[in-house]
Amino acid sequence: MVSSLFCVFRVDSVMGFEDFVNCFGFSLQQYSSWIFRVRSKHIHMEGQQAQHCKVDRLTNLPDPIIHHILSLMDTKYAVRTCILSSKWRYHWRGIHSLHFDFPYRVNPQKFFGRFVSLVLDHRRPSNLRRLTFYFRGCQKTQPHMKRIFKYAISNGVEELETHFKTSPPPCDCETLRTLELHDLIMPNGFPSSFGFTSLTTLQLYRCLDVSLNNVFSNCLNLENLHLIECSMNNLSISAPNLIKLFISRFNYFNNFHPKHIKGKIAIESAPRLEFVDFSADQHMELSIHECPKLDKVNIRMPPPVAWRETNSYSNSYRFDVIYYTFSPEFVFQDRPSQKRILRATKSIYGFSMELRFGKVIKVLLNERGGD
Amino acid sequence: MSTPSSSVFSYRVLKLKSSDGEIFEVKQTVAVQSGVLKQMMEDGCTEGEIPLNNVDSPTLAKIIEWCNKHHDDDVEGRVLSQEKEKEKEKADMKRWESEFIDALNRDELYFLLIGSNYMNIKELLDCAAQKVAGMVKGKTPEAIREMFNIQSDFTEEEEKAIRKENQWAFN
Repeated sequence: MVSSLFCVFRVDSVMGFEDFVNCFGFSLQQYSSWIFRVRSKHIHMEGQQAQHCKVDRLTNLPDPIIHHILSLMDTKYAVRTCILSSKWRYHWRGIHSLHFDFPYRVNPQKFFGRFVSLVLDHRRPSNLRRLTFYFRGCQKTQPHMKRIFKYAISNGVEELETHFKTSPPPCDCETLRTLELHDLIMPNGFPSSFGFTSLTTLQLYRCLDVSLNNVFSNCLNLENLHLIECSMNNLSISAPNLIKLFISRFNYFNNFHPKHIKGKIAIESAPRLEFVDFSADQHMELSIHECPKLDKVNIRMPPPVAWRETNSYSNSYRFDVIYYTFSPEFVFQDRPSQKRILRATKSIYGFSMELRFGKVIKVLLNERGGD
Repeated sequence: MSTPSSSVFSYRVLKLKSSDGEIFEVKQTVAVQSGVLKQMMEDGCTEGEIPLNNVDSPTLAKIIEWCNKHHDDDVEGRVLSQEKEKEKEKADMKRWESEFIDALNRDELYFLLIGSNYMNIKELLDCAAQKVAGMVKGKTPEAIREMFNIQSDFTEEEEKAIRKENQWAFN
């Protein structure tokens, strides 16, 4: 529209500008204001486009969003933003989560300690949502670790993710909801003081020989338990509030144990348990009792070694007896191609199953079933 | 797993009005991802148009696209008999999310952060914030300034002093 107007106006050199304007009923003032508007609009748009490229969007974000962004990165990088401009100088102090992750090569005593002091001394005191702490290099970090955990606990940390070799995790913290531990080796189990009243999610990755008994008796509100690539001989679970249980690649480090020891997992009592996802790299015995709410179970497990040596896959295969009470649906998967679903009506009695690669041969009333 | 809210709110539709006056219709089961809208639904004050004064229509369209993709997909709670299937589903969603975020320009990202914060959609806010965090981390201050057009107002001496004060972060 603008360009067509200009085309028309070009005629004015021939017929005289004022005549032209008059014959269209325009006044000169109207014309000039038109041009001005058109031009100023152009200028305005150009200005806007230029601004569009140059505007500092990041600094203009509301403070809580900036703090949130800085909380999502390694704390080291968050602190480094202090140099960007005066508005950024103290932004990092408002972070709600701390992430310490140090590679092997850093000089532990000097660098690590001072950096931790810098952060803990200057962060604005407010609730700590999450602490991630990895220090891969040196053993001499004990005092710093203690300081960090003390700080975290006094600031009401809600989520904690860390790795330990032999040192115990902080043992009591009333605000902690999520705990994620890597590479833990604790032959004697968690210390008896291990107790998190508000803990709802516990995730253990690649942990060896950890006895969980204290966990279940002390963390009464535990709802989600993840055991990933963990190695434990026998696991017995009695948890009053457990809802979801994930056990994957159980006994991953199976060379850690003598071969003749067969893992046993027993879910003894979990009145609120709804979902179990279980996978193991070797055959083990699994039994499930007293789980009235359980409605989804997913199991992937190879047949026993002895069986594999003497049988071909087409032969019958006796799955270890599963004591399984109140089970509407049970999915057994031996190999991806061999998926079968066994449906059983909900029964007050338990039953044991014999499976031929998922095909039900017999369903027996379990002697140990409810009465 | 159906959340209690999805069964209560069923398939009713909310009318959201963007700051520039455009009306968007969203199913309640989808809108429940926004903390603000969820609260309004629980309080029963979602009749008529709901004005969202901090969100313009292109941003609101993006937010609704995200919510439609994410609604009612509790992957973990379902029995997927094949591990691969489960992992694939998760990976597909991750890929979709990163494509969605990567396709935005700086301005769109900025308004999306503001909008998701205003509407309290935690996952979207986290995803967008994570994107910005990824852009910032590991870069030199000069590179960050250039990337986001941040003008430094420090003199050389001041910058030196601040660097010294926080030197353990710069090693």
